Amino acid sequence: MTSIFGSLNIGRVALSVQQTAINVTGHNIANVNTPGYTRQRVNMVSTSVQGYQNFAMGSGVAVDEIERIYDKFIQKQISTENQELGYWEGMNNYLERVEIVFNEASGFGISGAMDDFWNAWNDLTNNPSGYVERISLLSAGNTLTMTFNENHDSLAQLQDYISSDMAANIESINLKAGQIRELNQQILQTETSGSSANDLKDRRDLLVNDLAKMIDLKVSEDNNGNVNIYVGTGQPLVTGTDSWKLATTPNPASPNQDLVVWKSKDGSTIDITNNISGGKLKGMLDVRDNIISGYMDRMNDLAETIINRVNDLHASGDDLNGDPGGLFFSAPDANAPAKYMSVAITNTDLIAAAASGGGVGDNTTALSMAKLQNSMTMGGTATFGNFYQSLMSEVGNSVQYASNNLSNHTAMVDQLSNYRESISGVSLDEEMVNLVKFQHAYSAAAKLISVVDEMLDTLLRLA
Amino acid sequence: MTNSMSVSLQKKTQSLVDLSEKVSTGKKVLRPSDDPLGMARILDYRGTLSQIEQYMENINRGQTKIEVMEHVLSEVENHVINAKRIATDQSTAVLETRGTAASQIKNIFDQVLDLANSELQNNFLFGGNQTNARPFTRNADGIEGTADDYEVVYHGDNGEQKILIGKNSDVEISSNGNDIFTGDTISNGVNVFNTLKDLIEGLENPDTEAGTTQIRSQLDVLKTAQEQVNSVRTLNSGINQRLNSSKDYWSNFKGVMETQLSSVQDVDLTQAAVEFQKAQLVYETTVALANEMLQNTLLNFLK
Repeated sequence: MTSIFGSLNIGRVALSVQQTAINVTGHNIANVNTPGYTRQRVNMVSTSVQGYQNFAMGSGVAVDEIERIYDKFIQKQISTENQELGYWEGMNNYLERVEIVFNEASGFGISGAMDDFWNAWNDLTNNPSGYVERISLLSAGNTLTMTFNENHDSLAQLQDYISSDMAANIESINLKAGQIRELNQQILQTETSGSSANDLKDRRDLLVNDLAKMIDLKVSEDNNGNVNIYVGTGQPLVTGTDSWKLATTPNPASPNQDLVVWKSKDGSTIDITNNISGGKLKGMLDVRDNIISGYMDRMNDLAETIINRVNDLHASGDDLNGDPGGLFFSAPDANAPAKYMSVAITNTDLIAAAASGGGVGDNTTALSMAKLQNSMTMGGTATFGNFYQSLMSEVGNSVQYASNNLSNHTAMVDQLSNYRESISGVSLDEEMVNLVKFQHAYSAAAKLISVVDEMLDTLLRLA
Repeated sequence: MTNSMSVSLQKKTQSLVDLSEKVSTGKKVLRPSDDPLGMARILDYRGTLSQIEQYMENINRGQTKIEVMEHVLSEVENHVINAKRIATDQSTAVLETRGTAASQIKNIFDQVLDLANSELQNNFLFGGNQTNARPFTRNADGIEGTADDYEVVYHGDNGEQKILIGKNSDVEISSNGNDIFTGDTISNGVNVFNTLKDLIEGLENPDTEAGTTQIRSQLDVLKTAQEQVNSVRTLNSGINQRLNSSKDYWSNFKGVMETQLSSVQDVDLTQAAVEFQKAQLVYETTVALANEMLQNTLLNFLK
């Protein structure tokens, strides 16, 4: 015969297990809005013991484990997708600002300034010795050089700003890496002591996702359950026991383009700028070092050609004093003509509109200057205007491209998140049903105890 | 479910914002990324329009110059015709009026000299490219009664001024003192001032016989002089025609360019208004739907 106290025990155990189940359900409900939360589920298993006449009698229920409903594959996918998303976010954000620098929609950009400059030479052809026309030409020339200067400076400033933003992002990376390391240790402690560290793992996953958005990572989980993260060409960022930092450092070759380095424990650094291949940092690096630099190069090309062609023609003509023309534009820095170019003339008499040896009414040089506007000056295949237009087109295209990719990847991440939610997310409806289920089970177990209690009473009254 | 709802709402709001921006500014292309190819075309059209206006301005300036020259040269031609008439009269030896005739020719000479030194906007018209100094001066100081008074020296050059009326089209406007007045650069050219001078000498010649011969010999020269001046007028008139037709061409082309620019750049307001309304409707529907969907949970039914 089974012991009556055995039955009592079954009731007690049932109560306690259903209570646990209700607690877990309650925990799920409480965390319905917690980002990154994975719902937990109590897995119950029936227990048995050798008993009555060699039959295995059931002895109630026990909690097998509190399972985290977690799809590792989805997690990896989300991580990868976040990286792409971060990249396009970084790109799109800054490309939109690059677009604004050029200011073409308002008509006050380089395109308008160039048109006005050639028009001023045209006006000069109509009255080569005229004071008004000469002053207007100098004014148009100054506007042109200033526009180039400003555009160049704005782009350089943007590079600087990106470098600062990168530094801020890297601070954030370092912080998160530190937090992941702490979580690694906490999870290890919790699991070795026998319980499951579900909530800690959720937090860790969230941090890893955030990190993935910012920089490309190689993530691996080792046998102890630690998440190890590597960046660059294999430099560790977080391991089970330790975390490292990234930093930015000035670039000796270029003041606005800081480098990203990994700091080892002994103080030495490794430059990983060229080894970052994804995430927001990469997006920002691409904009700063490839795209903006490319645009600056093209602007410098344009400026240099204008300066050279104008100066050459100018030297071949005569000014109002009959002397050969001097420099029209001065460009002190050959590496960055657009940045420092200026008009070298302030005395209108020194503008050479005439041909060499022509009289003051001779407009040959001015005429040749005016014709430069439509000459194939850029590489023999494009006019100044065409060259600039194609640059603008490219700027527009790159923004559109980045914007489209951003939308696509945002949609992808959303979709993956939804899928993850459908597996790991808390559905209030389901939890309500569970609550009802466990509550009834609890009531039934309580009823069992009261029945056994009555039986005990009956037994005791026998005596 | 709430997530996808909020994403969807965000997208609809963004469309509304974009459309309202277009309607309020009237422009389809506010930045290169709105339409990259369109942006390039807009810049191109703007550049072309700017050039067209410049060419038309150049043409205007050129035409003003031609107009002034025409005015001056027609007077010069009239004076030469007058001189020839007087010479013709005097060539049949009417001796009493020789003195008066001489004064008249001297007058004509002075006026032609003045006309030859005409200015437009502080530039002398007939000095070629030497526009800042009088192209024609008397040798001496203009003291009445000396033969040398009527020796004119040309200080200008043979420069021609060109104006740009198209990408690579320049047009010369003949304003060269040598072509018109001294005849040095023309085959069979005559010097207008010299022939007038010779006429004066002939009229004042005390030896009336020799004087008459001198006068007679100037008749043909004066005719050639008149033709010389007239041919420049004809040339300029031809140039003016060309400028006129260029002006018309550019005027038409400008209209075409403006239409093209507008089609790429400007919003069709009616269409935009309709699209805005549509977007608004979609937004409101989405909001209503969200409202419906988010209301119902199991909690409503468990009580």
